[in-house]
Amino acid sequence: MPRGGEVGDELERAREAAAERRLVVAAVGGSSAAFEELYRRHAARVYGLCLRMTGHVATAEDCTQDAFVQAWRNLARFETRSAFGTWLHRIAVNAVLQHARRRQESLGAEDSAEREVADVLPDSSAADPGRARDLEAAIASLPAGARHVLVLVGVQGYSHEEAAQLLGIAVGTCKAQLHRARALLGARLGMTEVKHGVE
Amino acid sequence: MKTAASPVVRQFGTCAAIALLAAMPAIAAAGSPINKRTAADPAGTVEISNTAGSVVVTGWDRNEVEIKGELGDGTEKLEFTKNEQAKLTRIKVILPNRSYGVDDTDLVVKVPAGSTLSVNAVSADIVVRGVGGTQRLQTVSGDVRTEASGEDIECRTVSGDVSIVGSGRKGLVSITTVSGDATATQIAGEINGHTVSGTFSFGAGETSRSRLRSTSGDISFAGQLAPDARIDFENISGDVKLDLKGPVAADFDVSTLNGEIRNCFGPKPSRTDEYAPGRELRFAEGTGSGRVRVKTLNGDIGLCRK
Amino acid sequence: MGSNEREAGAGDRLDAALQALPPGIDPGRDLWPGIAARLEQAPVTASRRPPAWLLQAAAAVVLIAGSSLLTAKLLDGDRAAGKMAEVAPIAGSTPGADGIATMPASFGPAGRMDPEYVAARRQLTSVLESRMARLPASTRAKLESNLAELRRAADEINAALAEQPGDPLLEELLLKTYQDELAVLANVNQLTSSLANAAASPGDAKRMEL
Repeated sequence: MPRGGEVGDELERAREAAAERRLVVAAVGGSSAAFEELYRRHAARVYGLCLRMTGHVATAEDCTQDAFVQAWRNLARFETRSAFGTWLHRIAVNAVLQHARRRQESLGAEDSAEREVADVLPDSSAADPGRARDLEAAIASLPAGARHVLVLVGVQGYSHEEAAQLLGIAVGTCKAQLHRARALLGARLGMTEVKHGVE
Repeated sequence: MKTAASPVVRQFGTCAAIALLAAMPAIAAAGSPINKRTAADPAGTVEISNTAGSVVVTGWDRNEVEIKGELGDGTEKLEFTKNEQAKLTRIKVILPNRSYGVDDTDLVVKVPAGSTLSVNAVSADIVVRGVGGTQRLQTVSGDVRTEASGEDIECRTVSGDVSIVGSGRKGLVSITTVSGDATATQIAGEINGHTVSGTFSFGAGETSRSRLRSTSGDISFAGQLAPDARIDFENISGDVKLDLKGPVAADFDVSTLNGEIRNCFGPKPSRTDEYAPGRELRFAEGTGSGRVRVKTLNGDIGLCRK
Repeated sequence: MGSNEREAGAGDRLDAALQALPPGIDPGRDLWPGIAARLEQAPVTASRRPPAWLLQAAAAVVLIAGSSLLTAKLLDGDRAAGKMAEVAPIAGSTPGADGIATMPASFGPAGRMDPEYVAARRQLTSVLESRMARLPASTRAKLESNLAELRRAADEINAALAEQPGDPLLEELLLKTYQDELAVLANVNQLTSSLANAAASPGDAKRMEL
């Protein structure tokens, strides 16, 4: 028997969903004002996903913009019955992967080029307090494959099956990458001196 | 031995959920011999950094990291740290600020054979044997020598040479130099190389992907194409030599502006345009599911199958 | 507590910490104007569609340098319509004030150099120049001569493009040369990062002196 509070939450969620559906229908019909409102509602989640998956602010900004532009271009394909946010997230993940693929093809070295360049150029926008958090920094330091899975499964809460599908990898690979990500995170978050001879 | 007055917050600081252990001050002053051993995870990560001299790493079957050597004059200290679960061990030769003319430090390190290894050097040479995990080896002017056993290996130098001896097992090999030469033999799988003027010479088994790029250094690659291989070689002024062993099933797209194309199989190259320089060679061999692209500006292209 | 239990406890704490991270992060700046601008672009109709090789080349030109995604714009609308815009003079490479020369100013005939690329490259070269002084002389000399080779390659390809505008092989090689140069700068910067701060690890700065 749902308690009063839960019913209230359910009603609120339903109201929100209805409002969003109206916006989406208007956007599908061509209203960029409605699309802008959708942007306002979803930008932070999309950006959060992109930032954690790519590890770099400006890349995440580009992926966020790419995702919304792609969403606009493909609005006609969106079935208004399903959740706009989920559909948008899928597009955002694809934008991140596409960016990584293009970069890999142009520089021929997975990850290393982007990380080394990030070492060199101080990113002034990294003054953002969200970035300063050590766990976020540790996530950003993970190798790409592990990082993508960790963000989708560990942070965003997708299941292994969903994340595997989003990333275009096997479920087994997804699980292995998550395991690797957690091990690397655990290892990076504490260092101690070796003081004596054989320990 | 001096001790720090307060705990040091290391690179990733504190995290709300993960306990952090304080690092204590480092050990070993310049000139003193080093001989230390500590327990380490059999598949953990070992990170080593040295400026001048050498770093020789050998994999062994003990779950320990051992370090021997002698700090060169001018170095400040050797730092040897590990994390709580011994999954990450760090060995670092520390130089004082504004140091010039530092003497060589030669480090001889033994690590569990399954370790992931990361070595950073400036002029120090790097030699690795018997390490089975992922390797990231980089130096500015030192040379790099290692063995590949089917894992992911990345070697980067500016002017140092790179030499990799594989085991025939498929893995990922990435080599980046500016002017250093690179040779790799008995590797297989995915092979990437990038240089400006170094000479790259690779001998491979079954190759599924390979991207090699050079500005003026010559590239030579002898290997076997996997059924759906993707081969992409580009050279501005250096030559490209591709010798294929075993069955060949691929689409070939070869073109050059000013170089010669010599192929020992397939159709003859043709002029791209009646009035302009440029030669190209495009054909399919076998039921081509692979793709081989070779492009140069001035370099000659040699393509053959054995 | 056995190490397995310690590990399991740490794992649970890690999971909790990950889930506690806020799902949304506010972008530091308003990204909407950039999005809105692209929404207004008319869809590419068949008649205006650039040839396939050009799209491929354009895709290959996405350069990453510094912290921004760059696009070196290959051509303008006139080119797409088949008309050659007037051939820009091939500016040869000019030495910068302190050392590493710039890449040729024109990016193929009628091309334009993306200002973000220029800015990012300038930053990379200025950091690198400060580190070059700490490299041994022979390494520094090799590095300089290799960077000069890349510039010569770009000059040569640009000159060939002037003779054969739009040649797909040349366009592709030119793009790759610019990307290569940027990659070399970034690569060397990273490899020499230990020269920038001889005390090496960030933690060292916080150690108490004894």
